[in-house]
Amino acid sequence: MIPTPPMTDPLAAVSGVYNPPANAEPPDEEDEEFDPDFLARLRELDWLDGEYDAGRLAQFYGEYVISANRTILAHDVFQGSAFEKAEAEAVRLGIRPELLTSYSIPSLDYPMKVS
Amino acid sequence: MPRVRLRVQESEIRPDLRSLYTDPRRPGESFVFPVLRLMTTAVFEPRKAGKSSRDLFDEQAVIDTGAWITIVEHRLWSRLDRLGLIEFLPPPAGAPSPRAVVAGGRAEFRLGRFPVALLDRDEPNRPRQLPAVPVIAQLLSDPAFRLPYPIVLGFHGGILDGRVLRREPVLGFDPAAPGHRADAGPRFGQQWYLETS
Repeated sequence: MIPTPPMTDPLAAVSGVYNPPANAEPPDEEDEEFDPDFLARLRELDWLDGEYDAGRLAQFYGEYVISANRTILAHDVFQGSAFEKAEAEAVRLGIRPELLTSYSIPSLDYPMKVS
Repeated sequence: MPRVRLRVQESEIRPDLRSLYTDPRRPGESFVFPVLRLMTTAVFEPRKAGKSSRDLFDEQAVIDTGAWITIVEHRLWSRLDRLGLIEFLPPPAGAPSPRAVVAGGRAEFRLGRFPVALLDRDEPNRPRQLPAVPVIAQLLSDPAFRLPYPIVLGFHGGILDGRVLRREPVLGFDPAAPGHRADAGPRFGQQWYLETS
């Protein structure tokens, strides 16, 4: 039989458990004005949803795609790399970087490790 | 009453992971069980930095009431950290390094807290929003670890606290309706909302 090493219970020194404050909800911000570039990116997301629905993003499973003006500029498994490529492409096409929109295509595995 | 509509997304999955089945009650037919996930758009914004430009950004997020805590990929939380949004919650002195169990393996993480607002993108020109609340999350240390989405919003200590999660049945589905995988809820007889109580 393998001897079990003596263990001290780390919870013995804990002061309590997390509980959210009862009045955590901030005031209603329903009528908040959004930045125009942010709204443009939301419209781009809407377009990307449609592309996903139509199966036209199937080649990018498990990747991030970066688009602007309804054009996919770059894709990569790492979002940072995808952004770097997209920013270079945006400069070439004269697209402002504020319009670059990231869209995550779910992987076919759950979850996974990439390299 | 502020509320956002949540989306049910039908995801693709590797063919060998699909749940194919036959039903003795319907001989001669075969079926596939759909891969459905409850989705929302999480919005992160720097406190006191206005809402301009690229510092206000969003991310598709899964809501998983079966996950006991929120979990975030490295590349997302490192961006939040650069924006000064994360308040790290270090373990007590002498406590072992925390590790999460993900995909049957162990992944190191740091615990942190950051604000998350939720957006309803049904009307892209005038999105509805649930204001930001503090979310406590496991922040994965390994940049190579990918979740199905960059952030999985868990059961406790996050966006569900103090709110009502509502599932309404959708009856009489119209097969001719648009079959959006980005919002497959009505097609599968359900519509979800998150609202203030």
